Amino acid sequence: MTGEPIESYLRSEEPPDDAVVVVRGGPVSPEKIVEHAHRQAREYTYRNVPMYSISVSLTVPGWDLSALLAGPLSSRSTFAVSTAGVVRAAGFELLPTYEAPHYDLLLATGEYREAEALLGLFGSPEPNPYKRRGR
Amino acid sequence: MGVPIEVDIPCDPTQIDHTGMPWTFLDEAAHPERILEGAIIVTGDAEDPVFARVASLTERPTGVKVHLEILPGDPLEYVEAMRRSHLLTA
Repeated sequence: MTGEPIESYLRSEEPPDDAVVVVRGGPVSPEKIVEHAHRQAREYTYRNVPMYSISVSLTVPGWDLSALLAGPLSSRSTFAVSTAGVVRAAGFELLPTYEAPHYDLLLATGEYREAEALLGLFGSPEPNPYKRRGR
Repeated sequence: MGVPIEVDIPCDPTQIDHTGMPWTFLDEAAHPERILEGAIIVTGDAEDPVFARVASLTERPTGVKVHLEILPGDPLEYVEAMRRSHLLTA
């Protein structure tokens, strides 16, 4: 079984270091990072190897944090943020995939310890004020 | 103590592909026979479940890929609306 190369879905843009990287909640945990990264690696490759990654949203032009939380993240109860500079300085690559503001944040192995290290770069989970709640 | 929440099929609602829709694999479903095109199902995960409509099922080399249309609002809002209109007891 081979995955589909992600290369044909890449955009050509380089986010600035101060761009906010938003990881989705529900919950923000290493277990979920591992689950989602392995699902991605089952379906996609990058540079001819399985692509362990998670979906994140960035504050690229046209998208501020409120727009992200009310848009792509609107179904998520919690979120956590870091910056592109911090994430990249720690060795994680950000790939602009599909339509902005979507990015894939690449992991080397998709294993638990790597997911823990990644989440250490993010702030504490916060409630998404744009997620509506039943009463 | 309540019954644990069990989603029909887990997914990350932010994990999209070129279609713009979130996706997951059919073999991750607790009951794959419920995952039919057009069906309303519960997805996400137990901590943050959402309603979705099954948009399509596609054979891929790596398995059957399920695309989902996430429905707006919180599942509890739907329950409240059904209670108000007595749909649950009609």
